Amino acid sequence: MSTYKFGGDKNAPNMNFGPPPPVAMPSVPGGLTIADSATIEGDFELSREAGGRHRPESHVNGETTFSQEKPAQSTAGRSQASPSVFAKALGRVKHLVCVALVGIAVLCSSALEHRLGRYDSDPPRQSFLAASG
Amino acid sequence: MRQSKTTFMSVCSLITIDGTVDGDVVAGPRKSPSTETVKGSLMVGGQPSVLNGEAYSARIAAQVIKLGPKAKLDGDLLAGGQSLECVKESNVGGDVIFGGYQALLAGQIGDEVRGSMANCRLEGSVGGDVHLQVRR
Repeated sequence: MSTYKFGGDKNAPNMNFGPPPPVAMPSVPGGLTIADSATIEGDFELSREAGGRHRPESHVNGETTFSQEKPAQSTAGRSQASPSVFAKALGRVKHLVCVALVGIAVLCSSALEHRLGRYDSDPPRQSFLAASG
Repeated sequence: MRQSKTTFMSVCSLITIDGTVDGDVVAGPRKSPSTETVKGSLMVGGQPSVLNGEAYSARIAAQVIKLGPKAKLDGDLLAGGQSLECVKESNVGGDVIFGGYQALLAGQIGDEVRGSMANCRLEGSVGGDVHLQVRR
């Protein structure tokens, strides 16, 4: 059995990050709360994270709009999430289709050049140099 | 200070304006400023900030911001801090824009309320629209 000893004064006061404010802060309930005495003449737009439940329509004379924000996901969790088998297969099929389309386009263009008789064994650059020189 | 017709700027531990300022007041007191009447804008950055007088508008950055029962702003209130409290008798003629942790809005607000905070309680009247982002 090991015994660990830690230094420091166990009777030391708790650490404070600054003095308490000389003006008392009001106690406000979490999230958004609207008292019965509240009146809103215009529109009400609330953007909040998922899980809110307040419905202030009775206090609002205008329109009420809610938008919920998705909770932020950690990047580590997103990077560890592996794609499913269906997603992998779909990616392979997409790759094959793209390669096939490029190949078909190349074949079609060369066949068209043969048919039109424009096929020249000399590259255009050599023809240009011969004409200019 | 009893009366001033120019912009008053001060960095001190305590500011008490027991009179009328025709221009703006820019101050950074450690303690709460006490103001009577500021005909211009009040720009204050301090730890607590309790307004209990009249001003045209106010820009306040403080840990605790409180508009007392005699507070009356003809224009906007732009505030940033841990807590904003507008008591029941306070009056803001323009917009209230706040970014911070919590806000208790119990007074009268003539125009819009815009803010992003964790806790918010509306108890007073708002003459315009309310656009809030509540994040916990």
